Amino acid sequence: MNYRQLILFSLFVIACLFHLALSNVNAAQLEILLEESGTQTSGQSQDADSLQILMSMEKGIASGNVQAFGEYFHRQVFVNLQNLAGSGYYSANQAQLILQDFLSTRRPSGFRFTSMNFEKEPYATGGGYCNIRGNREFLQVYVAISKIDGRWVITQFNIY
Amino acid sequence: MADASSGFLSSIFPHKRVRTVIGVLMALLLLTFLLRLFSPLYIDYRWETLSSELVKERTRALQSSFTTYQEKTLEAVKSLSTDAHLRVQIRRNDSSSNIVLFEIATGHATDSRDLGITFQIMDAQGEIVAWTGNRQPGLTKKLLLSRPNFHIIQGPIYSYFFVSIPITDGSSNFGHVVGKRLFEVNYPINNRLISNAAFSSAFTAGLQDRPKFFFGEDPELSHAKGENFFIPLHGLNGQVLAYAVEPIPSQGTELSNIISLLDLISSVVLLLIFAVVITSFIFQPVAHLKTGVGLLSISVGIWAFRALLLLLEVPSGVNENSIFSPHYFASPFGFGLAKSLGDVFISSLFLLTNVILIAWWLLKRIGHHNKDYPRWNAFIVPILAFGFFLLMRAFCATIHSAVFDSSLGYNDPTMVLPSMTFSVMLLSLFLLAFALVIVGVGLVVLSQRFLFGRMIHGKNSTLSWIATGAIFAAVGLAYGGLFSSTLMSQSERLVAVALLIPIAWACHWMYTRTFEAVRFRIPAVLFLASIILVVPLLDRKVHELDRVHVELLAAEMIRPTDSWLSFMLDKSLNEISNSEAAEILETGTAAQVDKLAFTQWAQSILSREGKSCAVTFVDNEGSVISDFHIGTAGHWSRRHHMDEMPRSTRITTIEERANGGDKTIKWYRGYTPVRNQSGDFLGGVWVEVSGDVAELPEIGRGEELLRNTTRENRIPNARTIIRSEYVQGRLSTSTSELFPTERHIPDALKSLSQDQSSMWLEENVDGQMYESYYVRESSTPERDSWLSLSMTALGLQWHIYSFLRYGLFYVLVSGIILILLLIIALLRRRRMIDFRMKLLTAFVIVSFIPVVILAYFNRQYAVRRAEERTVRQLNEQTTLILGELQRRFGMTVPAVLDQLTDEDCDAVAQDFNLDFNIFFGSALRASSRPEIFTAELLNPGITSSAYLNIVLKRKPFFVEREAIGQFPYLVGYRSLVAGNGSIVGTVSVPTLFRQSEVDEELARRTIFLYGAYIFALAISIVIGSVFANQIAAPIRRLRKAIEQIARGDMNVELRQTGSDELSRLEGAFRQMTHELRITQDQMKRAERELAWREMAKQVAHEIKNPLTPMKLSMQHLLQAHRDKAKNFSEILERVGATLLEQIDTLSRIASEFSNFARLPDRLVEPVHVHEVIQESVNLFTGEQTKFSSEFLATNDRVLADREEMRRAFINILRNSVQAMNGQEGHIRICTETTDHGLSIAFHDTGSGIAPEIRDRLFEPDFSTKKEGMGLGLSIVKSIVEKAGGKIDIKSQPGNGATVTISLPTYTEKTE
Repeated sequence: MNYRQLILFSLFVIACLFHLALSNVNAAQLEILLEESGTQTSGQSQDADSLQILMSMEKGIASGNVQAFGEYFHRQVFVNLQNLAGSGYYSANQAQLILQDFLSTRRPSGFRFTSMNFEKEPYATGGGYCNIRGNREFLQVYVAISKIDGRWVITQFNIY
Repeated sequence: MADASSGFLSSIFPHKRVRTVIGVLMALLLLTFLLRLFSPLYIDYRWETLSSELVKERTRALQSSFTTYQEKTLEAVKSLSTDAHLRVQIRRNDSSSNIVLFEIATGHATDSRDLGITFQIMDAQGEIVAWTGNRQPGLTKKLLLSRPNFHIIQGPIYSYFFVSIPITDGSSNFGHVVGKRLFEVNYPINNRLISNAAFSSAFTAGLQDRPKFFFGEDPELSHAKGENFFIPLHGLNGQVLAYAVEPIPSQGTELSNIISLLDLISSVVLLLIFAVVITSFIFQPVAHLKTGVGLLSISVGIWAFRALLLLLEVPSGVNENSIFSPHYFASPFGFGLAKSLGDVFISSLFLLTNVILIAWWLLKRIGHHNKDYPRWNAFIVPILAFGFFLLMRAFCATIHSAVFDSSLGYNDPTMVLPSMTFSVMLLSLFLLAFALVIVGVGLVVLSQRFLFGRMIHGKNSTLSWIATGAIFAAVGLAYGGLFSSTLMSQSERLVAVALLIPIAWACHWMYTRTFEAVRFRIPAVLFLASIILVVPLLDRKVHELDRVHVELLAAEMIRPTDSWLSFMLDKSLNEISNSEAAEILETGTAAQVDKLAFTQWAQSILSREGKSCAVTFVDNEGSVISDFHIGTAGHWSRRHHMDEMPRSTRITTIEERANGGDKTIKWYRGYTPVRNQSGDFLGGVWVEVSGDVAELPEIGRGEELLRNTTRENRIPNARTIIRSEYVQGRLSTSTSELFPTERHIPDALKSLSQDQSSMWLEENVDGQMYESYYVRESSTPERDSWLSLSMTALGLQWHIYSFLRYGLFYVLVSGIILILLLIIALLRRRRMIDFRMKLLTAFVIVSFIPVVILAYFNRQYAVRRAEERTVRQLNEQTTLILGELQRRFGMTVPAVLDQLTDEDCDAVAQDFNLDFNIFFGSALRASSRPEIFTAELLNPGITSSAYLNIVLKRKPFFVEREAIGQFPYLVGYRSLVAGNGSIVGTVSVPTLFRQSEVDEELARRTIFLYGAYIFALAISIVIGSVFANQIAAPIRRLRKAIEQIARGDMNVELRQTGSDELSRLEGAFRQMTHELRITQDQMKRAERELAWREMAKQVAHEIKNPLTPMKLSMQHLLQAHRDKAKNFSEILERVGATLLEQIDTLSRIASEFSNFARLPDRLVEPVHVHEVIQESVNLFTGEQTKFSSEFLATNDRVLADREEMRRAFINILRNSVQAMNGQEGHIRICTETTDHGLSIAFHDTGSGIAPEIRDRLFEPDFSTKKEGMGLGLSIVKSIVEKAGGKIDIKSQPGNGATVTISLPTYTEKTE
């Protein structure tokens, strides 16, 4: 094999990569945005940012797109996903990929937070149904956020 | 078309083997594809038969396993029941015989320890008189028959299989022997210490699948018949003991399994194809890499291939739950290159491969060049240094990510060798460090070269290296000033430079001495440097991780938890009041109902979160029927609920209760009714969750044992954390007595602004350095409080421990790599294992064996010492507890003991921070940790050994090793003696709750122990290497000298370096060589003289022949001139002719001698023999002789001088023509390919050669021709032999002659 063939082959591989990458981008652009629903709130909203985070999470969970709220994870966040092995504290990077993995197979359709509380430590709970190997299961989500170093961050993410 | 594709494949994969492998793999891929395509059709077509076969197979396998299980148990029980001593003792049946019976049973239990069988010996009345293991559960009297009986007792968690055999002499029955064996475990908790797999002695542990069992009469009434099938499990007596309930095979499931298997195979095959392709692409062209473009293309190819693997999710898609799971590690770095642990490892391999290729290319391309670089190249050096620090930063970021983006047990104090997943991470970091070190060394060497222009063969002054180091250090400092980061400090940069420069110098020095160093020595140095690079950086990051964990703990402690606990309460009420609970309340056995609170708790969020809580089930009349509590939740709940009426509605409340001190704790309390599917009210469940701040987690505590999760421990490096609380500037509470109560809050905190709520401080408390994390709890005028978590500062010992721990792993890995290399070298019979290597291997083995033996025995000794220490502690602790119990409760009579409660034990345990249990006879009376017994982690009965030693043998103290599953621990027992001397009970203190401390201590000892031995071994290897080098040096020098002599070079330089045998051998060899050289010189001179004499004689002889007629002719001419002969002109003509003729003869003689002696420059090249023969034949055109040729040789190329060949062929042809004696004749020239090369035959029809002269044909001065010099054939022979061939002449007088020349043919490989 000479270098000319090698370069051609490399260019071919790069072309394939670009093609696949573009396909992914197109698929991502076709994500459906969910309508905002009427959610019960309690407590006094301390900061509009905290509401913003929770709304981003709602949209992200519903669309299975963790990146929508990944930037808000605390550097160490507690993650518990339906009793799967390894619940515990994870770094923001890990939490994002773990959740992405989880939601890629168990995306709750029509997910919305049914209750939000803004007292002391804001939290929200909600749920949605998803299909797991043909079985319809209800996923209940509990998330908590905290203001750390002047910034609202997600500190807990539980799916039961 | 086929040729085209074959040509294309050949161009891509030049090696036939590679093409074959790819072909086979492609065929396999196609086969799996076809199977995947047609398997659904096949399964659909034959499903009925397949389904039936699957059911039969499963039934047969299960029944067979159960029969084997019973037979082994029966055999063990029979062995005990037929024991002669047993029969004697059971007849006596008194207190002394009981001791013997215990000992006999224990002996048999030890023999069948692998089976996990325990025994019970019963007397004729059916009472247990001796047992092994745990006493409960046991068989009821009605199941003790006069024949062997088989039975299974089902429990909510454990089910046991029993075999009973009567002890009889044929007529009388003296009792029974019962063998008990764990049959099934349904433990609701699964964590790193407790799991069903840990109970390996259970029948179900040996099965591939875990079937459910039904122990009732008619399983088909209780289970949906359409979904399951039932396998009756018969006892050896024929009775059905249980039914295994298996789901009926589903076509979809079976198909899914087959497709999953095929997918797995195709993924693996695909992976192998990729591996072969990448190997072929990367390594084949590398050997011929000449241009930078080629290198760049390969590098791009490597990373394009890596990206392709990522996109295709190969191999991460094959096994998602392995090291490719983000639970172990995940980082968004590098577009997915490090999205999991497995990906990091693969990316590291790719990176290292790429770096090695570049390094190799550079080494080959410019490594040996000795050229001066332009002066301006010196300005590139700071850029190279800057590049190095950029890469260093990237590496530090990777280390940071490896620690903080992972859940690996960096701070597991019990780790001696890392787990599989952790090993993958450590290996990945090592590969990255290896790549960085190669790049670093390369950059330093290049810099040094650019600075001074000479590197390999030039003169390198020490100054040049110092200057390079100085530039790197200056750039490092500048880099740190411009881009400050916590990833790497200035001092660490300087240390890195200080290490890198000597390493680069050492590599360069070794390379300049011998290129062979590239194969082993330089990689070894780089290997070591990589380890040195990884370990300290990792150690620092792990230390930082400790602090992060402490911060998380503090955050948990001060975090307002109202919302979370309310959610948890609500969630747990939903989970606990499920249909399973309703079914047990409605139809469950008493045992199932009794364990209901525990089993429901274990499966709920309460267990997963590990909070202090209580779960209490009440029936529809309000009576408590099952309760379970853990942590600080006490029995308050049980008493309280008994006073409450059952409710049919759900409630949740928050109450505040005093915790026994001055503090009140919030309790989140909820109740929900439990109803069946018809809505009937069956009872209710109360759940209470403590709102107390999170407690400091400790490994091995009851909370961890009973936690239904594998949550990673978050204890910072096993350093005890001291929790303190400061209120209004003064210490309020502390978990350590070392912190003085009059202590004030550090001044540094007073200066903090209101926005700052936390701070790390290093402080000295009572002479001990602590790292303390202070966090503000509340900051109001009424209450200003701070929480402080302190851990002892890391000392030098910890760093050594940490270094040794990681070093141990890397040493192990390098040992494995070395062994593999040695095995490969042995298999390939490479020269790698020379005498020095053999010596070194011998030294290492000789050092290794005693080190291993010593390490093993020292380890055993350390374990024993650790156990002895634990035993001493248990001895003191049981004494302490016993004294306190007697002091508080005056326990000197059984009646008092009978009134002792769990709360009493808890109170004592809290005061002494020691958990313990009290036994009355063989049964548990009270415990400070009753939840462990409720959860059936421990059997509520004393073990047989403890009973035997404490109660029967009346030993005051006894220690026994026990285990929960495969989690071992020690228990100390001490007898509770009444005032009258009788033993009224037993106190036991298990190390169960402190086992982590024991394990940690043992791990620490092991690390230090093995660390010391590995250090000793490393020193042995270094010293051994030096010795091996010195011992082998004379032999290496001798070998080189012999090789030099073999090449004909006698100028050997050897010097005697010592007075030992080998040095003397060197001296003798040198003397011998010297004498040989002298003798050789003398012989050469003699040969030359002889040759000259021969030559002179020959020349004289040849010259003399024509000189005689010349002399005679001249004399005749002179005489005729004197006589004035009339015919003078005629005489002159004749004499002139004669003289000219003789002068020609002389000229010819001179020419022949000249040709013989001439040594023109030979030009050896591939020569086409057929062409040369044809050219030679053409010279003889016009002769009367006819020529014909028959060139049959397929390869006519030989390696020779073309002119010489032509001269040889002309000589042969001339001889043949002359042999015709002017007559017509025929010369035939044939060539053919033989096994040895090319054969050329010259056949002539001349007069032939007489046999008597045939042997002399090649002699230099032999000729049969008058005008011949006898040199022709001699020259031919000389030419043929120089070309590596042979010449042979065959002839029959009168029938011509055949001259045959054999020459080795030339191929590409000949080069």
